Amino acid sequence: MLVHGKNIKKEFIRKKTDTNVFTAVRETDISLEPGKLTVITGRSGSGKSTLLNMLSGILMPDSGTVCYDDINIYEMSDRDLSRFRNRNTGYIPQGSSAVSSLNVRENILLPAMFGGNDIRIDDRELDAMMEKLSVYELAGVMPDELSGGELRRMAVARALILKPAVIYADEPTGDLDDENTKIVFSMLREAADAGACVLLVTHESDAAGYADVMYRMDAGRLDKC
Amino acid sequence: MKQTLLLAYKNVLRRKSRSAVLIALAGFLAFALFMTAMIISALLKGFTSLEERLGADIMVVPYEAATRSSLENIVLQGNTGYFYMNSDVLDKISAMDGIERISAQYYLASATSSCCSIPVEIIGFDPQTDFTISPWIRKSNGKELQYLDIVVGNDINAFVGDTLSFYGVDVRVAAKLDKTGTGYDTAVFTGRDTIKTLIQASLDKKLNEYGNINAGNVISCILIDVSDDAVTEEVLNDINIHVKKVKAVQTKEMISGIAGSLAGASYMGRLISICIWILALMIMAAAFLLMTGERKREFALLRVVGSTRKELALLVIGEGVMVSLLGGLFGIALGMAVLLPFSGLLEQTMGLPFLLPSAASMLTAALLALILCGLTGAATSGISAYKIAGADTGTMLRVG
Repeated sequence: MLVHGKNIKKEFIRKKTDTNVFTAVRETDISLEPGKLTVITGRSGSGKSTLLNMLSGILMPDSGTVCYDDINIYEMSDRDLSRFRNRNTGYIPQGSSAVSSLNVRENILLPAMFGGNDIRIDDRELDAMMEKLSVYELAGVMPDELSGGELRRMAVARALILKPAVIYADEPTGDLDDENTKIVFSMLREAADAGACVLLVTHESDAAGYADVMYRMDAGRLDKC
Repeated sequence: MKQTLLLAYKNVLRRKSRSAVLIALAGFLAFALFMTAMIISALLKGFTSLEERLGADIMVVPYEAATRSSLENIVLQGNTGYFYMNSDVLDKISAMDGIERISAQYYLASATSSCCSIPVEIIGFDPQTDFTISPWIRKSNGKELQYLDIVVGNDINAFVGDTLSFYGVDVRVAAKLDKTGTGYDTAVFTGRDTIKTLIQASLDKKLNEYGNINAGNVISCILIDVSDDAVTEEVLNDINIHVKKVKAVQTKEMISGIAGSLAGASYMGRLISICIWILALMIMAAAFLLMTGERKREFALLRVVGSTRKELALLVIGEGVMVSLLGGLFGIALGMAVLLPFSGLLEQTMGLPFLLPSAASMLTAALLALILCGLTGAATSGISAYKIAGADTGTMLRVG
């Protein structure tokens, strides 16, 4: 599945400033190709996450279009877009993200919960993925008992569980040590090698070693490296 | 939808402290609504029952028994006390104009009895002339009382066929009355001949402070039904002016006067209920807003994995309704736990007839309170649901 953002732009209103408007992402074109891992680096506040959110279908751009193959996702109804996100995208948010009332295993299976009855998860594959991310032993543990790194590994597993065609990772290794960082990058690489479009936003310089395409973002402007 | 509600259920079940706060709020609301409705209803039912039973227009008592508080005690609570006047007063009043029916009553307080843990009021009446107690007793007994037969109030620990002893006189329980919510529930009723025997026995045992009375020649109170063509006030004044050492009062007026005040209190009760409901509504809405505000990232995550805005709203409202219903059940159960065992204490504290509604009415009130709690939960969480479902997911992830 080819993801193409054309002329997408996002501005936010800031109260109590002279100009009031803050441009997070200037008019930008970007394509994410199947089988390729795209990395965007840049300073904090440069607009990387905003661009990723627009492409993933959770933040409507002020202008421009985001198409998955020929489908303009922001022309869909909320119901259709939600189902589309569920079936086609995996998302690793920045920072900790978990449903506090669900244990680790249930959190990982969350996309399956909203995916309808026809989604079947192979328990062996799930266990293998959890083992690879070192969260297998934590299956029954509640999120408030996890460390930042464990939470992040759980989020990675959740994003990959339905084997989505497009994977978005927003600083997925922020709280991880070198070993776990490598594991996560390797898993994203494997997903790309299996045919997924992968967009990775990170500060980690090591990510370059896994990337097919590199971008740098600065003050809302995206430049190919 | 099923999955969303399952998630809502897990959220309620597993986030115990969060749920406990909301359940306590909803429980307070349900308790207040249920208790107010039940107390008002019990008082109204008590007065209706009393009005039905006390069919006399005028009550005549010895002057020393006629202080306002003791009269209200007799009329409203059935706590008769212990006073006598000469029976020729009955003949004198019977001869007056405007009297349709007239009957005497006899009161005696027992000192001790094996049957009772509280002092028992014994009320005697004349079966030939009585028009207030007999119809009521006939409902429970079905036949006329014989000499040394008694009828016991509902709270007395005795059953039909039992033999009780008062002042050494053995009497047989012929019937047990329905609950009235007044002091009559702890009273014993008997015919004129039996009560005279008991009064004499109390005098013989020197357990009666009116030691110098003649048991065969005293009465405690006279009840009068005024004829249709007479004016009650005129008959009343006639008695008060022409009969010495007695006081005549309008009983129905006393009941309807207090029942009227009660209607006002009932209106106030409803008003207070509405105020409590509005207050609880505002507190619950604020609590839901605060709690959903803290969970923005969690809701954004659900959107990311494929939840629709409607499912998100359903989740928030589902949680709201669940905690409200749980709180409602808790509040109503607490209300029942207070009301059922302590209704006697409430009756004593208020000093008014207090007759709990039937089980069916109580269940209906409980169900209504529960539905109102559920609706309140839906309405208050609905505000949060509207805000969360309408929020931008990307922004929630960023600021959460």
